[in-house]
Amino acid sequence: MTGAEPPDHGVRPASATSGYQPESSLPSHIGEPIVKVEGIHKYFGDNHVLRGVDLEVRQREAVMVIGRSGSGKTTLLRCINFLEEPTVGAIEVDEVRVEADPLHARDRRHREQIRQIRLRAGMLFQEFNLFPHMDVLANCIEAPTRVLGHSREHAIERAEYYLEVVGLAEKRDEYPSRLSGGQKQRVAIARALSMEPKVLLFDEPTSALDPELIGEVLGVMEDLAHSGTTMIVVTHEMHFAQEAADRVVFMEDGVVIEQGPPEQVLNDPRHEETTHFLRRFLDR
Amino acid sequence: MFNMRRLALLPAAALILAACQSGSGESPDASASADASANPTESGHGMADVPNVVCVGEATTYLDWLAGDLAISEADPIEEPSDAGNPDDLLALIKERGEIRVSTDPNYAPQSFVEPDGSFVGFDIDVATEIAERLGVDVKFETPDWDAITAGNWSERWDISVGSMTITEDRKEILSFTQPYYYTPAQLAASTASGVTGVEDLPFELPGGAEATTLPTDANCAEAIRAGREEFALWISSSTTVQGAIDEGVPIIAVGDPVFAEPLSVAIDKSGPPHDELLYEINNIIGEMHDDGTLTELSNEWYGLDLTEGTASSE
Amino acid sequence: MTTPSATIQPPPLLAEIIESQRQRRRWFRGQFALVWVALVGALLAALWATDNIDTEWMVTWAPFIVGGAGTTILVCVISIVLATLLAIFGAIARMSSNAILFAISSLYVSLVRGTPLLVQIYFIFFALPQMGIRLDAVPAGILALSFNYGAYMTEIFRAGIQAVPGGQREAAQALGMPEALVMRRVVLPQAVRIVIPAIGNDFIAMIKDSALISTIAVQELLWRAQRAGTRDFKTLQALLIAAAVYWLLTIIFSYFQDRLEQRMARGDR
Repeated sequence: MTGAEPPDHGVRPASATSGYQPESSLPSHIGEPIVKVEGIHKYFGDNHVLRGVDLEVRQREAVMVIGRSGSGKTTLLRCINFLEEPTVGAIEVDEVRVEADPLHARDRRHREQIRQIRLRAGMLFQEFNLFPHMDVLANCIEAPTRVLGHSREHAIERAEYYLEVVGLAEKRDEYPSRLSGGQKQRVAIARALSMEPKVLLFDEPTSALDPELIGEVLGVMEDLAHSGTTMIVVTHEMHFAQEAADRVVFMEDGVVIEQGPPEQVLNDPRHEETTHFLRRFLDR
Repeated sequence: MFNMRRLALLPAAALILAACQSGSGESPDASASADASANPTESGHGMADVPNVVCVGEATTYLDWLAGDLAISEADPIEEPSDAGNPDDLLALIKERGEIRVSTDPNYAPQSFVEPDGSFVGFDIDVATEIAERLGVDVKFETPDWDAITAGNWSERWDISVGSMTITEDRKEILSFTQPYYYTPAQLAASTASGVTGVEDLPFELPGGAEATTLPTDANCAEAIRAGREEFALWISSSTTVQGAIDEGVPIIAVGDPVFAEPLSVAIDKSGPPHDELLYEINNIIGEMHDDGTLTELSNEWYGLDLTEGTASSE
Repeated sequence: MTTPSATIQPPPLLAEIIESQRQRRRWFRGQFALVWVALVGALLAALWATDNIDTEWMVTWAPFIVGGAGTTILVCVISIVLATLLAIFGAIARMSSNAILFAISSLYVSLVRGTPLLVQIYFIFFALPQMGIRLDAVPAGILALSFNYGAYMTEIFRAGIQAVPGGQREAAQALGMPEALVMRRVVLPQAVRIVIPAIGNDFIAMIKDSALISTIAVQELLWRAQRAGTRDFKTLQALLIAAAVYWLLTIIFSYFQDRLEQRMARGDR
């Protein structure tokens, strides 16, 4: 599952490695809850996409969300950092709590709260969404300098470090158009890490990639997971989920059907819907 | 394939040919018109074709005259202002600035026109420069369109007009006038091709009988006639402009004597700052320039005759 | 010294094909140039044949008239920059959910697109002073052109901003960037790249439209041509010179615009 350029395991973000224990047993390395999703409902017009989702993610935990398309898993992820405004419910990330308030979504205070959540939850997209008019380094220091107010020198130092983490230090002066899809997504990961968020949200990060490029991205993500980065990943890569997840969440029709350790949910599901989903998955 | 290529060149060749033919076809026309003018007695039969239209420059008094409602006026008497030394008077502002801004539309040779180096020359330019000198300030020319000058509401973009402006009752509503610094006779002209040689040939009674068509400036009428436009054959402008066009080879002749004389004055916008003192001062300067022969000298230089006496009036 | 790559000879047949293609291209270019020269020559010959063209006069006056091109270009460069700024604000306001901003920018666009440029020029020069805003001819001309083109370019910029993929905005928001920063640092720079060809087109159109400000006595190309022409009853020759200069200017700027467009196409997309 590792890519062409496996990252050096020795290089780790300090914040992400703190408290990292090599044991893979869940309780030993997993910390306090850091993301809380409470009773989230989401309507798109009359379409009830999320029907009451509760979810807690703990520090240094890697949670994989699976389910068929239309099950609401991507919407859930986008609700966590308010790229979609939840209709009902509350989100808490690292003690910043925002109640869904679609009627007052444009209030200055509400928007600032959302921004605080976004600073704590980095997001990776299917389509990478690198800024094409900036080179790799500029992509990585844009938000740290202009949003966090870091000095340019400090931001560059951190960015170079995270580019090293994703194995692309030598690409710092390239423009995104000169990178492969896999490299773009790895730069996007470095860009998100450069903000030193508390949790990373991955929205199907490999589904826009050619099959031969998927491995390098999953490799980076797996390393991040094993080194204790808190992450919520919406994915269709079952093998990756099995390897990297601390917990797998299966969603269907806008609710969480079941969740648990990967070996349990993926190999011995308790719910018929999960079995059904996994079987259909096998057929593909 | 090769035929196609040659075909592509055909239109070009055709164009060149057409050009040559139009060039050679020009000369018989030209000689015909020359004959017509040389032989006035023969022109009678062509006269029914002369359109009932006279070309004039926009915003000129000739247009009013053709419409039959030109009311040429005289400058109001100008008395010495009682509150001399008013710091708000335009005169004080000009003195303080050290520069008088004079509007001129360099579209009217020989009153005001451009030189290839971009400088302005002409009778009005010289008069304005002399006025500035006698005021003890520099002169700066602004170049709005003529109709912007005659319309008033200058918004203090310039101080005075030295633009051969005719004093009329209408203009006196919005502009203050000095005494005239010269007088130009208005002259009718006709294209030689029209066959019109005298007032008796005109297809209408003047004034009031003709329709007018306007072009941006007087000279455009002469050029339109030269270019062969036939919707009008008659033109009215100042006698000096008409003579200028004839000298340039425009195929026209002057028709009859000048129809009226226009008193031409320096004007100041009434909607601007108070200007009693400036008006009085410039009026005096013009009086001096009449008396000491400066204006006569300039008139002779630019027009080849003395137009500074009011005697050039009709007939 | 030949480089290794230069020593590689294509096989004879390929060489023949390449040579024939090259020849065909040369032929095409040659014909193209010939037709242009022939047509322009025919046009000039036709004019000359009217016996109304005083070439000596044209030589004397060409420098004065051509000198107006400086003013034309200066006015257009300043105007296109101001118009671009106006268009950016206009486009942002037009896409805003703020009713007041939306109303103002919609009125602006509607008013400007619904009235002739010449009327706007007159209005700014003659009407504004009566409200106490007195602008000299050149600033008034620049304002009129900027104002006019700003409205048309508002629509261009709106399309440009909308053409920036939504993911760009989302990615920036997800990094915690506030709305204004997202617009300024992420969306606008990309929108500008998208609309640069259109701005180039508008600049070329503006060079020609700027002739209208001759009516408020801006001493640009056409103004000079008219003044020089009426002086000696030679308007035709004067306009010929002006037309040639306008044409040349558009050819030059079109060339640069083409190159710019090619570079952008090759660029980071």
